[in-house]
Amino acid sequence: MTVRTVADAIDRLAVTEILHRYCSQIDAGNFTAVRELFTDDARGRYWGGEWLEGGDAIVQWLVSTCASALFMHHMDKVYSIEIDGDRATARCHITAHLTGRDAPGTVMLSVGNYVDELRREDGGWKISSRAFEQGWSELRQADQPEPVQGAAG
Amino acid sequence: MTTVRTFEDVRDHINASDTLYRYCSTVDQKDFVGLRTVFDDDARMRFTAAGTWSEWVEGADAIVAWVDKMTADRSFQHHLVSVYHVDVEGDQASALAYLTSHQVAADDPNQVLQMSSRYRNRLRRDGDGWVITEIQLEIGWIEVRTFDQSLALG
Repeated sequence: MTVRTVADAIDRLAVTEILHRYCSQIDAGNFTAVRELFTDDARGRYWGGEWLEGGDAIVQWLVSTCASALFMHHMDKVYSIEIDGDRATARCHITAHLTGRDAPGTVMLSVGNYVDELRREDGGWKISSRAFEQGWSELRQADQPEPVQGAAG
Repeated sequence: MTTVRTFEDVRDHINASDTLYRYCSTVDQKDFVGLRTVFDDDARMRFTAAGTWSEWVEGADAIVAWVDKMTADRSFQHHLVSVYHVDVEGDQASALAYLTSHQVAADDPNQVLQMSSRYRNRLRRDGDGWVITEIQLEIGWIEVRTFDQSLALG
């Protein structure tokens, strides 16, 4: 979208904030906060599976899928947002690094896109549809040093 | 959590984010004069991996010297960062930024250190902009990879 007004800028940043919060709250294991990001009738689909119907069903699936995770890092960049009144569409590029408690030296790299729809409710934005389209996945291994020595910053 | 409702919310988010992006770009360019400008004089910084926190590095000058030392053995650095949240309370802010970094070894151009990390920062308002008062770097995945760069160029 082309930002022409202050209202456009506010909406664009507010939508971006919601999409980023989805990633940060999953990674923090805060699924109560994740639920608040979805409308009650939201739809969700991951890796080309069946559509999950309803915000509760989406979060229940996320809780189950993330149960064995040790570290989750959903690196997300919001690429496009289109707003039409109280509805919006968005597209995000994501690279995720995920490790499990039973194998901290193995990481799953997942590269793909989120295709989203959002709706304005009670003055704020919520996700009404989110589909993850995966384009590349890979398992990599590396011993994890502790504490880390070397380049940081 | 800051709900974006006003122009001032947008302005603060953009200006605080600009400071956080400038931190990364000056580190990558080894522009330590520029890096010093993003910090409050009394800023502090620490990092963790596998649940072990480093000691705090206290003061902006000490942080800049520490970054210089920690990255001296890197010939190329690429801190790819996405600022997720800027939560403002008056003249103070907290921010969460996600980071994927690639850092090439100076003594081996075919070896890169890749990390997936998060910055949990605090900032304070400084005139029209923001300066960093605290950085906490959480490293979640760290990996050294090697690849013959001459092959990558075809």
